[in-house]
Amino acid sequence: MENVESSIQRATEFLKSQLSELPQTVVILGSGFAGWVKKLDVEKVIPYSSIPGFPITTIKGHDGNLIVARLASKLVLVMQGRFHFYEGHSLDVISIPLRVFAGLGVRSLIVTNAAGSINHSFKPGDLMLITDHINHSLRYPTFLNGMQSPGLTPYSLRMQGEARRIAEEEELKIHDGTYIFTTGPSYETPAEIKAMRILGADAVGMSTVPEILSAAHCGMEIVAVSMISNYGSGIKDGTLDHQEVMDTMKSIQDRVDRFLMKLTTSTLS
Amino acid sequence: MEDRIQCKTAFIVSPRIKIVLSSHKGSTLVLTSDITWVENQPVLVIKQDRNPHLLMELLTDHGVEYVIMLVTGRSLNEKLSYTWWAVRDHINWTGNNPLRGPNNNRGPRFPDMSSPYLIKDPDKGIVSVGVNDLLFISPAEMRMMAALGADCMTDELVHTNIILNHAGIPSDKILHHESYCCILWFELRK
Repeated sequence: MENVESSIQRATEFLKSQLSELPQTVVILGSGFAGWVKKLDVEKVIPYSSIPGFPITTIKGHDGNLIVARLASKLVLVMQGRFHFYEGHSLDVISIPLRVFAGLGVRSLIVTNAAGSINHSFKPGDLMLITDHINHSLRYPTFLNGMQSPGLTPYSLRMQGEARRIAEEEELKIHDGTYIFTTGPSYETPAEIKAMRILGADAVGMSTVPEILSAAHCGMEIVAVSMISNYGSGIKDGTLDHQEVMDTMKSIQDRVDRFLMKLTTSTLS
Repeated sequence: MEDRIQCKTAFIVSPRIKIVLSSHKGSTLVLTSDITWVENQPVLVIKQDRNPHLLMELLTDHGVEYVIMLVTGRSLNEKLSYTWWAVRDHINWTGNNPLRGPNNNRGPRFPDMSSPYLIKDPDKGIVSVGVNDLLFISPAEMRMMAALGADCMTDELVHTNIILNHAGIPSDKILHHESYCCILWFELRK
């Protein structure tokens, strides 16, 4: 397996050669958010497979492209598709894109995902502003070994304020909450959902936290938003499936697109 | 040739204990490995120390439709005694998942785990927390797991159950599986 550090170097050099200017912000699109790119002024689409050193995504709903777009005259990068621990990627590999973007000068990160609700008052279709997280994978990217912690919270209070303001403008319901990261790919059992509730989590998912840890250590300003796409096991009768996730996202796509657009614009100087 | 014998029922048993079956006709039978004949019917017996990823191949090759898991555990609940308990649910605290990596064609990428065991009644059965090692758990960790809702700890159950649930969808694969845990360690370190 290729050395992670050389992968980062190769990817950074390649992207520098592809970009007309250095980007300020990167947006990571989770399950069901991929349609947002249709609203963007896209300059270039770079498949992950053509970026030397970049991992490949294998999940339905994650296309696997790096979108180079222009917003408010500034360059923005959009990850259309992300990398997950359950696909077999190590946390070090998942950190590669964030460390590449930091090398390109990116200062702000907006992360989106689909999450299952643990908090009974969080319904599918609600947004959750991630104000804290619990890393239930019991592991960390190894490049963090020996590094000083970035502080009490990696999440930007300023960007959280912007997110709440914009959600109110768009009449989107947004809760503050704690996201718990699990390895996946199986969904959680009712006993696990109950245990996570006791631990203090409000929503659960299989992504985001490895990216947050990497971005925080790279000094980025971070905001993360979850789309509550389904109830956790045991909260509502019935089985869970990936199609339920996709269907819920589709029903509120337009409002969420506007929310993302405004939030991204707010990060650009 | 033994590998081709079709067995509707399979036992997945803990290597820590010897399982003795007593039939209603008065005969007893020790469950050893491979094929065992119970009332003239072949039953597949699999030791729990087998690689869980090879488990489904074995069950499918033998045409198994009904799986009974017999595992061992360590109590977290003073009300549990040294006996067999039906497992109702689990909490995966291993930090890993046997389905990690490319998905195979036995089941969906994201298997539903909302009903992972036979028992559904919340007043029956016990909840097991899956850990990597039963012995090197501290008293504080045991108190934490009990506070999270677990009744016992197992290191033989959770990953296998996830694999069975993965393959059980759609239901023309393994139709039925149930799990029982025998409490071997009752020392509650306070």
